[in-house]
Amino acid sequence: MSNTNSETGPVERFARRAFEEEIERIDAPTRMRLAAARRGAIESMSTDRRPVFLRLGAPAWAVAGCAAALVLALAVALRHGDDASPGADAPRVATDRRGAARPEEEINSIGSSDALVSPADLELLAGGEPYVLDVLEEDLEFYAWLEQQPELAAGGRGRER
Amino acid sequence: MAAVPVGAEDAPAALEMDRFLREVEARAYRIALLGLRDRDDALDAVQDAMLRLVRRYANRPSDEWRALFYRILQNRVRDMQRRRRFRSRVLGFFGGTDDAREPVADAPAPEHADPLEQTSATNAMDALEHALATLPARQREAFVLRCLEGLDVAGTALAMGCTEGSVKTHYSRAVHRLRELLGAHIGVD
Repeated sequence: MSNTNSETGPVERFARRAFEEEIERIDAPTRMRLAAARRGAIESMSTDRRPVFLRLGAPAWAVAGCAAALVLALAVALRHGDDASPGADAPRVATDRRGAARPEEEINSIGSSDALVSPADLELLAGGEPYVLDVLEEDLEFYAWLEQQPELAAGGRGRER
Repeated sequence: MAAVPVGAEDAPAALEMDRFLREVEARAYRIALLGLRDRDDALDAVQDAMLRLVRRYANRPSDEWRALFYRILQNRVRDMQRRRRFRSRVLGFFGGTDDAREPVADAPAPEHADPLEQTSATNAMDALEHALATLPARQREAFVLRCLEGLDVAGTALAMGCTEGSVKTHYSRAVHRLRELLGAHIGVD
């Protein structure tokens, strides 16, 4: 891709001569700005923004391979960790001695950090509708009260018989 | 030769790049000025092309630099022309005026020994510029790169992003048209 001036017709000769004369006439301030631009470009060679390993000459495919292997290893390690302690991240459920869930504890724990269902979860369920949250909370309180009533509990047992 | 402030391991490459840029900067500026007709825009285009060449293609073989540099420059010039057209359309739509400076005319007159010689050179370049301005963009690019910058057909094709056949066609048409337009200046009827 070297310079070749094979065409030497009158048009080319005229154009080249006019162009070369014009280049000779470029003024000093413009030449200084061009030189400053060149210096800036050359200085940017030393402020290479590529990562260190690429600057050291490691091929891009090798770097990409290492990154992929690292991500894969991390994923396997996380998955293995989950298998080793399956209940570690599961939500804590309040249970009585027989292992059944106790609704009153669920209700009392609403709003506390130990809540079985946190307000944030409820807000998520409500989808941003605040009155839904109120209704839900009132219902839970009502059913808890209902279960504590002895006559209702006895009646329920009577029907069972 | 100016000191090149880079790390020791980069010094030879930087020196070579510096030599290359020093060699092309004035011509590149004048070529950019042909397309943009604005001194500051032409300087910006050349500066941008230098930076991009250094950052992206410094590790390519040095014999490819010229074509790559002119490709970057041509793209930059085209972008600026497009932006300028868009700006003037928008301003025209809103009834405003483009306050862009009147370009080359603003440049201070260079010192020249012989006023007659200066007039003659200016006239020749003016005639060439006017003739080039009438050519389609691709023909103008082919002529400028091939004839004024002196790239060979392969280099011009790389710089223009087209085939060598296209370069030959554009160039031949450009020369034919310029011969008609510049007949009086070059002594051809």
